Amino acid sequence: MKPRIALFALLFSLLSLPLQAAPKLTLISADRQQVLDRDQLEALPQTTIVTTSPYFEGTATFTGPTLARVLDALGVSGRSQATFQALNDYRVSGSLDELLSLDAIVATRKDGQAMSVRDRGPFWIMLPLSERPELDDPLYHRFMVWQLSGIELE
Amino acid sequence: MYGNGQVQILQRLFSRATVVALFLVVLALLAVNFYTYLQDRKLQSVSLGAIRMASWNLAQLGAEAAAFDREMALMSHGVGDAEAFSLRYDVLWSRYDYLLHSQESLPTRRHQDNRRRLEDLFQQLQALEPDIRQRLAQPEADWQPVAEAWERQKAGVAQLVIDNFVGDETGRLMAGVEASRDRLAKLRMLTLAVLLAVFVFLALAMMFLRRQSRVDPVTGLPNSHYLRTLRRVEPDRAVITCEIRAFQLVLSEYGSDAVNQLVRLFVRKLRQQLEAPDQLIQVSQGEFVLLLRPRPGQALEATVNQLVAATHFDWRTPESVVHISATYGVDPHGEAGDTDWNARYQQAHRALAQAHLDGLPYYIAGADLRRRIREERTIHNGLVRFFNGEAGSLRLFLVYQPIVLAENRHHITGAEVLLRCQDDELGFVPPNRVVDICERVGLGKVLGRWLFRRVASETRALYCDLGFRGQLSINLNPAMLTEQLVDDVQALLLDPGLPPSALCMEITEDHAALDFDRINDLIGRLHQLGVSVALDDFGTGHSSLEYVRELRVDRLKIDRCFVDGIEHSEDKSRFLGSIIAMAQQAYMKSVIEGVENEAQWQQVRHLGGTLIQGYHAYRPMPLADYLALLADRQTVSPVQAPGAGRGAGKRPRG
Repeated sequence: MKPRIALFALLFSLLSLPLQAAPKLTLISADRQQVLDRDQLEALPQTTIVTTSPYFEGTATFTGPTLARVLDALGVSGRSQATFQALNDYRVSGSLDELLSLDAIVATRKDGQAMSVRDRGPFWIMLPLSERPELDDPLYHRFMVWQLSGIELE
Repeated sequence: MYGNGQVQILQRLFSRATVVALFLVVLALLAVNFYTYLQDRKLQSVSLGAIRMASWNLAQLGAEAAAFDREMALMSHGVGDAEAFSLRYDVLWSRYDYLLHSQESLPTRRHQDNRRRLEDLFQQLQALEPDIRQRLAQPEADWQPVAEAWERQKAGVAQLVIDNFVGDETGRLMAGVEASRDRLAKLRMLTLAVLLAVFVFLALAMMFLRRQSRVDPVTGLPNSHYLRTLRRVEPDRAVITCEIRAFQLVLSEYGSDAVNQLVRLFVRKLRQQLEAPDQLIQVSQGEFVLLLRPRPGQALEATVNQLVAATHFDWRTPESVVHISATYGVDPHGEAGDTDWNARYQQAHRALAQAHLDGLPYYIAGADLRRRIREERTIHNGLVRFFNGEAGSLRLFLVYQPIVLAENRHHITGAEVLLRCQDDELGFVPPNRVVDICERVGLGKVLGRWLFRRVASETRALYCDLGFRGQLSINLNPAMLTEQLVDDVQALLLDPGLPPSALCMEITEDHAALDFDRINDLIGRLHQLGVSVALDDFGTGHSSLEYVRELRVDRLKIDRCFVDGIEHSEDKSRFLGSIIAMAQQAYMKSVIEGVENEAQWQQVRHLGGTLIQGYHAYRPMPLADYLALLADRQTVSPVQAPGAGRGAGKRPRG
């Protein structure tokens, strides 16, 4: 990358366009709906994942509550299917058992910084790819939804 | 087997030309494979996963650009939502960032000039930001210029997507992949077909070789390889071995080409005598095996006579006429249920050997031969068990036959150790049969050494503790007559304590025949130990006098045949006397064997100066009896004591 462009990229990546609302995560479980913002997510017990990934160069540290804990807040009893939804309307579904077995977290911060939409924030389903290399596979990559906006249980 | 035409086809099939052609086909296939590999190498970087990722990313880029486009349109009409607009802008931004920087999208960037175009597009998007910021701050701003700038970018995004999905390069790439796939499919079929052909060829070649190896190349008859695959034979068939007489002589005289002709002729004559179910197998060039069905209404003997007559002919060569005949050994039929091929074959061979021994054109094995084979097997097994120290029905033991002075039968100069064999089933087995079997099956040395050990352990006390110094004659079986004999005598007889001067090794003319120099060398080394040597059974061999002249033995044991009838015939008596005199001339002590009555005794005694071993003096006896005899008051015997007589002392050689 040319230095000038790199500088631009750095400058703009730190900022988002103004007038963007505080990021929220919408949790839907048939009859009930719950909306969590970043502060609420960060109030939950935090888990850290240090990993490489196909989406960025080098190693990064992600923090956030585990997916299991977030879903517990909603209540998972009687639910078998979960769908992640992203800001760009990307949707991916998987069985709850499988998703909970991935040790996933709902990352709110990358290297200690809150993630902007340009950084694929505000929330990013992150798997411990370095710790569990068997997860580093397209089969699981599809669950690593960035710009996560909602989770729906069925 | 199969006909000549078939053989020719098979030979052509497995000719060198066919093999070379097949080899070339395989080589060509390899070359085509390699060419395809080179052709497809440039396609290898295209993985299906990468194509899928690229398609997905570009589709997402198109969708996110469209979403931003909608918001832009709303804004430019003054009905947009700033928050939604910002979000779509940022989402599109992050897509560019991802396409340009993530590892996952590397194949997308690398394709054609995607990287450059993406960088340009990203830069253009970023260039919109100041204008957008400015307008978002002013509610009534004019969005038209921004929308127009975006419009140009939008076209670039659309073109990028189109080029990636349906552009020239992509088209070529897809065509290349498809061509490669088709090529591979064809190649796979071709490879399979050739592999199948090679496999079939190899399978046929194996079959051909297997059959070929079981057939004699000259006569086309099944050969010894085939014979080895025989396991059983129907009991009613006669197993006949047949040998062209003096075949080696004919071969050495006329050479192998001529002999091949002879063998073909011989086989033709033999075949004429065979009927359909009979089998003729060629074991070696001049040796055959026939498996014959009994001929209805004809005795086997008559059939064999026909064979003999048919194979008795004059063979005309350009130089001369050779009389050809064959010897047959016949095993007429198996006993009930006896289908064991090996036993039958051996039986036929025994019969052939018997025919050779008796000088007959054929010999039909009967119950006696069969019984003998069975007995020998029993004896052999018994011997093996006995020498291994296992309990069995067969037992070897020793007896001692005293040798006395002719002048005084109470003067015992020593004894000959004799082997005895007792089998629970067969009863008494003659010792020479035991020795013959041992020699034939390779137990000769084991037997000889067992004998030495046994002699030493039985007589040790007599010689060491009682100081007895009488002679102990031990028969050597042929296998013992090797370089190792001296070591064996030292280790097994002398080391345990027997005095060398008491030992006398007896060899027979039969096995001394081999090589006088070698035997004399052995005798010399025995003499060095102080052990004497006797020539046993003198007079029964073929060139007895030569032995007496050549071998440096100390004693001559004169066979019983020279004693028979001396009491009735003056001539015989004189003849025996002259043998004794001859032995004396050669400095040999004579031992007369087989003196069986008083008249004979008196005659021998009259001839003077000899030792006697025979029933009239003493029969062979167990050790205990021999010891008792030596202890008898009447008995005179040499002992190691001052002034003791040395009646059995050997004569020094000149």
